[in-house]
Amino acid sequence: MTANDVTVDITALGTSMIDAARAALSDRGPALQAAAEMELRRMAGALADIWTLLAKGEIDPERAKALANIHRLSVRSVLRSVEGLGVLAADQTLQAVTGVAASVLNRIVGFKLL
Amino acid sequence: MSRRGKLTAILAAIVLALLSGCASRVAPRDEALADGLAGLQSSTGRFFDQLQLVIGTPDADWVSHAAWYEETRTEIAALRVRASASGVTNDATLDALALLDQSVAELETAHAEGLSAAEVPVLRTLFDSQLRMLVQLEAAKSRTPVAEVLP
Repeated sequence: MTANDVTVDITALGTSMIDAARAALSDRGPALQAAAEMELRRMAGALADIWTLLAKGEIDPERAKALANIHRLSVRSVLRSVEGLGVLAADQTLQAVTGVAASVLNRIVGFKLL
Repeated sequence: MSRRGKLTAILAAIVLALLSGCASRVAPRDEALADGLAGLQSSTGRFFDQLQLVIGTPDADWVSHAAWYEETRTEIAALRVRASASGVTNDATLDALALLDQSVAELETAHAEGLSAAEVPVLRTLFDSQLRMLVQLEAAKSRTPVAEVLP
């Protein structure tokens, strides 16, 4: 094998790793984005409802503050779960990329490194 | 193989090995935790269903639902213990459960002061969203073999 062969191999490996990452993310990325957007739209609607109740005098400012606090806690909780889903997607992508790279890199270095 | 090519391959392998071996920031799948969250989601849905039916009557008063709050607090506490047992610091599930716990406490305070029919759907939306995302997070763990947690 020559230096040029290694260069070609590394380039092909890079392409394979990118393909693996794309495949891993294609399932979760859009689904995660859609779920996050849907929940945040619902929560935006809830905040608008709280404001409407206050504007109509159906709740007093103290109750509006209490509801807004529950809203704030809920948004933080939802975003934390979304973040967790993002980390899971990243883990899955890393495992896919590592799997693709392992077979090639282990052969090049001559021992099982990955 | 050239020395440079082999060095590049070794460096790439080391970087990937380090990345794949690093501690996950999400706890591994726990069936009991997933089941508990699903149960909490159902219980909370039934609570709001019931509340919506009786709102405006004495049956909607906090005292008639005190048992649900007690059970829910106990269930969330048990789930938090379960989630913390994974040893993952800054775990998303654990943090989201802590926020849910605070939300339930705020809901109970508001309920004790009295809830109106117009407030129930708003509150339901907020709790539904929290629990739906928590359940979704646990479900996603079953599709991903999470890396082992390092001490």
